[in-house]
Amino acid sequence: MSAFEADAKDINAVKKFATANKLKVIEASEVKRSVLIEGKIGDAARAFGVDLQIWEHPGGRYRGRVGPVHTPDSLRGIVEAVFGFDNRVMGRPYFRRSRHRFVSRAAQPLNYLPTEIADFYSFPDADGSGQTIAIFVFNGALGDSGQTAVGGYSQKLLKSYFKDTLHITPPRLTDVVVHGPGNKPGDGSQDTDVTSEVLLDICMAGAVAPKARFMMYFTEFTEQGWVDALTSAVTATQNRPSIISISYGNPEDGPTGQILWTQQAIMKVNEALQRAALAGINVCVAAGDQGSTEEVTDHRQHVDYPASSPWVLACGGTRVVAANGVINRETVWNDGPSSATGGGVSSLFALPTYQTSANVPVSVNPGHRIGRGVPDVSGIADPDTGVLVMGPDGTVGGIGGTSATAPMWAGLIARLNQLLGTPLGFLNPILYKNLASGVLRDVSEGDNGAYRAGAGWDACTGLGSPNGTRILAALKGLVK
Amino acid sequence: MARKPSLQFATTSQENSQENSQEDSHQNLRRVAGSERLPLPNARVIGPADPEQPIRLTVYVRSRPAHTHVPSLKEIGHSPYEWMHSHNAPTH
Repeated sequence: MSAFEADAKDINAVKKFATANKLKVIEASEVKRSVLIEGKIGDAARAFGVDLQIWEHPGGRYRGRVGPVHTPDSLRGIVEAVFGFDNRVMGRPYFRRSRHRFVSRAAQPLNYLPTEIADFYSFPDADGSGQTIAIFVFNGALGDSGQTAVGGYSQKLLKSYFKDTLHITPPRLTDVVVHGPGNKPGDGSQDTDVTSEVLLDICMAGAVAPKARFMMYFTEFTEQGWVDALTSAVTATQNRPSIISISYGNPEDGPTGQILWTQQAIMKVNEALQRAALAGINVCVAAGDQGSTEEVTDHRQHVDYPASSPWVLACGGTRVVAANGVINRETVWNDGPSSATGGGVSSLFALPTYQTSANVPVSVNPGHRIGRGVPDVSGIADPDTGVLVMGPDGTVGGIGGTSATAPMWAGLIARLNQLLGTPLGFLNPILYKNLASGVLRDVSEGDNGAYRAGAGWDACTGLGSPNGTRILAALKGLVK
Repeated sequence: MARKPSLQFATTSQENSQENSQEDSHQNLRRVAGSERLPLPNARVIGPADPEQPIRLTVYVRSRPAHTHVPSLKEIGHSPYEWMHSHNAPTH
């Protein structure tokens, strides 16, 4: 979409400025509207008027700056954002291991294979053929601590899971390394290892849409990592995704100093998500696993970003009791403040047009702001009624979190795209306008801390969990 | 971060770029709006970053001067899927 692209003159002005300051231009793109430059910290800091220090805090060490980034008069009005100086850790994965060690299917019947989940949510019969799903993976250096988050997938483990456990062909995976080391699977023994997250995402979406092409976007846990990866995915010309699944996030706001997102990062991420929506790409984002507070220590309620962006399908979590392919009970996932679905009312984003008839309540925080309601939809997430996926150690076990819900919806949308013969695109307007009543499975029991579930939309489970067949029928009905 | 972000949903890339730099006393440089950072809670400086170490930066620039219109959600009103079918647009 050309309205989002840059003028060549602006790109050239930045290139000229970089070269004049001993910084090498690695990549310049009018479509991405960005210039990637490289050089010495001393030259870069001088060029952009930044003082860079090494900071130590209880969570580790990072290279940080205080105050703004600067540009010279020659770039006045041209530069919107600069990322890469500050490498504090941004983003956390939203998977949760079961509190109970998985022994066997017989001993723990409330753990389900993704194919069984697709059955009890009545997913229509399809395999995702012709669809491309992008899955985001964050790994690599953690600030300046010398620690590294390993994370990735092993083809051998995936082959074992898909062939021996699910009896289907493993999905085709293609790596796109935006920042960091790329695919570096670990054995799950380190706290910082995100391999469980990566395997969960692939096993879930891959089981639901095994014939889809999967683009694995590897990036780092930094603002630069977030913005560059999203911009790359939504502007891709080859293997462009029609669906993106993101199982990571951070609270959108918090007390001064605890806010991890800068305003420029929130705006650039949101712009990338807007580009995705207008380009017909559906972005499924986990709503968070720490209930309505997101574990921010200010006694207020918080939603997660980018789940709170109005341009994404925010995915909340439920607890499912099913037998013989039938759901007997589905409630809000809430095992306590550290293991419950995220959801609430955004303090950054206004109520989007598509939610005006959804009865989104005012925020419970002081001021009782009207804002974007999170999540939009939900699905199985409670680790105690978890999803059986391959683990980094080579064993199949139960796992949960809204990290399971986002790739499940991504897989379902791949099936719907295939069956409709066209990408659904950004689902939210049609979801609230045409699927809000009698189509999804309304989950009306439970709470996530400050917000209770009820009939219709609620800040725990959105409009509900999927009934895939009914969704497909409703969508087909719209084009008759 | 000195200020809590006050981003509103309807913001478009053109609107973002309307005022993206402000005067600053820092050596004739202008600050990039929204780039302010604060230290993390209980963080302390242990020294300057090594000026000889390599660094990679991504610089994002404004969109083309706004003669091209970016529709808001209110304007599109429905999804691209619905739009495609209501206009008999080609699919891919």
